[in-house]
Amino acid sequence: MRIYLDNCASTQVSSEAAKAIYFAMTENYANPSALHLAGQEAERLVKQARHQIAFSIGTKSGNIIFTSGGTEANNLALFSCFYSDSCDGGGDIPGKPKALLISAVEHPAVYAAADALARRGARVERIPVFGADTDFPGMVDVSAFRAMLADDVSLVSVLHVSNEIGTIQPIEELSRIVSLHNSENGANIRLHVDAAQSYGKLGIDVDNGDLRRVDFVSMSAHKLHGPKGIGALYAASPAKLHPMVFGGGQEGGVRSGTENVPGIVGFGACARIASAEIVAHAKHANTCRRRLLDGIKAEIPHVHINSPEDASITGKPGCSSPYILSLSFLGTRGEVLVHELEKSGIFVSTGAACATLSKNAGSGKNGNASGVLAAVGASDEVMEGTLRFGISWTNVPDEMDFVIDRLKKAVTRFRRTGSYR
Amino acid sequence: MDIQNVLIVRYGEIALKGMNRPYFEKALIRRLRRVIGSGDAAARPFAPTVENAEGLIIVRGYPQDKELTFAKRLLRVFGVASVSPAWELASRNQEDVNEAAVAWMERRLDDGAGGLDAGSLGTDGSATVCTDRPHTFKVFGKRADKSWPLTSPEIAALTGEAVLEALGESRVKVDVSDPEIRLYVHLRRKNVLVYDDMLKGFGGLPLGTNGKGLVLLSGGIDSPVAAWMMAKRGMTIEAVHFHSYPYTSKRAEEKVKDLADVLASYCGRIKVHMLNILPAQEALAEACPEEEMTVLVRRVMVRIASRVAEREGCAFLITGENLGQVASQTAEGIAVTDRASPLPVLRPLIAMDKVDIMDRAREIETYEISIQPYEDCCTVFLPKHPVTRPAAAAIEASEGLLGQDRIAALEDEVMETEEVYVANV
Repeated sequence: MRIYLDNCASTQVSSEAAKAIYFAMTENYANPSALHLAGQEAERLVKQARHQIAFSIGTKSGNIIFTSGGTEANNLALFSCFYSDSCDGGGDIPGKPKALLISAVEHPAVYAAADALARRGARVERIPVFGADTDFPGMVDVSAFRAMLADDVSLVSVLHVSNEIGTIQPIEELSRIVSLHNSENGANIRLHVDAAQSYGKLGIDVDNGDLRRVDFVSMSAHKLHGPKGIGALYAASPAKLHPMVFGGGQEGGVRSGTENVPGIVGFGACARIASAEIVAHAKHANTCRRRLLDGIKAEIPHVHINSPEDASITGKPGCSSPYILSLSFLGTRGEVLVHELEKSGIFVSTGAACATLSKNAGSGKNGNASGVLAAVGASDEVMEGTLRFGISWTNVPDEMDFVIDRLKKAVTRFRRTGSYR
Repeated sequence: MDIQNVLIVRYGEIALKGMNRPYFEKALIRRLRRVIGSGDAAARPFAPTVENAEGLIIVRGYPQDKELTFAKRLLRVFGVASVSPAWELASRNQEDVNEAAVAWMERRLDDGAGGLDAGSLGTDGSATVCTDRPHTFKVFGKRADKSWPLTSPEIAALTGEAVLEALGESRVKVDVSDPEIRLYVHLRRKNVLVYDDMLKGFGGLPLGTNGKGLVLLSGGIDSPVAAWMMAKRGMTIEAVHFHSYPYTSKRAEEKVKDLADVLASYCGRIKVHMLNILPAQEALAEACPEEEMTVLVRRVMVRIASRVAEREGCAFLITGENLGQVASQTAEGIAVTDRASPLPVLRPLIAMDKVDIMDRAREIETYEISIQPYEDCCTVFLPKHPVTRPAAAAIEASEGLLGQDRIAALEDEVMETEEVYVANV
């Protein structure tokens, strides 16, 4: 038996996507740029997938740029704002130093890219977040954010749903603040939303309300039961993007390289399913999450809930995503629990590798140190005993009882033998 | 003129052996045949041969484009002092020797380093040739066949003259005191060898000539080096690895397998016995004083390793212990651990400095694997303040808290977790 609860890390490819990929690989293998009919058919598949993804976030096909995944999409957005004249001016060569505001709980794909820009002269500031002892752990402090909007800021980048603790950020409000600031000050600050953990799971509609002013959204297929190696960037003005990969001019010259047709087709299949089932899926995930959380609270003492306890299926800021639950089993080590559970066929992850302990977290020097738990002020004991459950609609609520039982045994065993530590 | 590419293999210490010399030579040849083996995909469809004649081992019949690969393999064989890529001339007359010497020098000057990446192999210092001024050289004549009409200096003079004449003074110049290129012309009874480079091997004694030992392979930097050093003296190696799964990661076990694979490129086939020591750790943690945990667990490891060793026909245990390196490797700590072992424990690293061990680990290519950050011994059971001067009586008293029967039962339990991995080249 296998109970896979690491769906925030990656997911099983759905059979619809796998079939579409197989078909694309064995039948439509021509280069979409080729003049002949076979090439045209491949191009049609890419076009169709692009449309499905665009439709799923309420935009047009022309605003979707395929990338190798969420990381590349994030890099493309950040580097574009630094190098291209679409922001503060300065052309291809970085002009006057620009500033980037990123939240204190970003994924490495954003903070490491920001660090790289800092080495090229950019000023990078981290927007503070609410701490572990509040009702909204990990949510950005909006009033602090407002005060950080200085003249040199060119981009604000926020992770919509924290990959480690699931907190949903107030992207509508941030968007409103940025656009108000822009119109009052004649500024041109861009807003980038990293939606790796939320795309297809919580509704994002860039054609609706305040999200209309979002400039970039990064998406990834493999978090959504699609294949690895494919993602996309939504850009409100794709022409102003600054390419990082040069070559045959695919993706409007923004991202050269022969299109990953199988990946794109698989991604399209996921987008289609997500569009149709988004609410039902979120409700299902929430049922699993609730069952797991309530069971653990009842069965296992000394558990700290790192995520906001309540999940929202509509994306309410400050709540948790229904797909993520981060818990700390005090007096244990997450890594050991992971191995103990894997013996029973249960796969979860530590929310924080050992390297995330406060002494080196958030330094950005260590690739493992995400610093999310450190950023919310969690103690070493909390960080060390952390497990992250990544839920999906492929999980069954009944499975959770087995997980709770095995977890209880593992925690009890550890607490007995490791008690003197 | 009939020229063949060959590899000359010289043995060091074996040459000093008296009556037993044939025994060591045979062991070495057997090992050399194995590493260039015909069952090897890289060697196919060639059938390399190894011949021991007139005090040198000559390897022939390997694919010429893989000369360096084969040389490197031979250099990993213990007992090999050095290897030289050479030309072998079947005809034995001075004209052919001259012609071959000129051609060899031509090639050397064209290629720079003679086509060999000598730097990475550690040479006798013959420098890469890549300047525009004339290159200095010296010919060394060597006459193993004393029936040859010319003496060694005469051979050298004639060959040197021919090279100078053919290449011209703008390209080469004789320097007898510190030449860039040392060209050897070696006249033997059945052939002539021409070569100029010597790649240093590790020396030591051929594998399998000095008993069998079981190394306690932790996954750290030291124990693979300890195993390697004993193998270098001819000892056949087998290994035992203790893990604490699920308290340690399965990836840590993969790392130990990777280390065994590297060791196998020197030591041949290595059997690794993987054992889960967790039952013993848990029981000791519950019953005994925390600060003695490390020593207590090490004693259990040594006892279990001895059982494995005796079953597998190993007469020794080998550890990477190094005096004073960590709390458990104090003189007292080692002494108390040693008392638990019924077999002699070999500690080749005992008096080395850590930096020297690390250098050796880099040289034998285990270092990069060893430093991967997986825990080899679970820190859950690591005491905050380990006892650094354990007394045998106190430790034995702590073991008494569990009782010898219980400890023996735990050892049985650990023995039952055994999984075997066989590393092979």
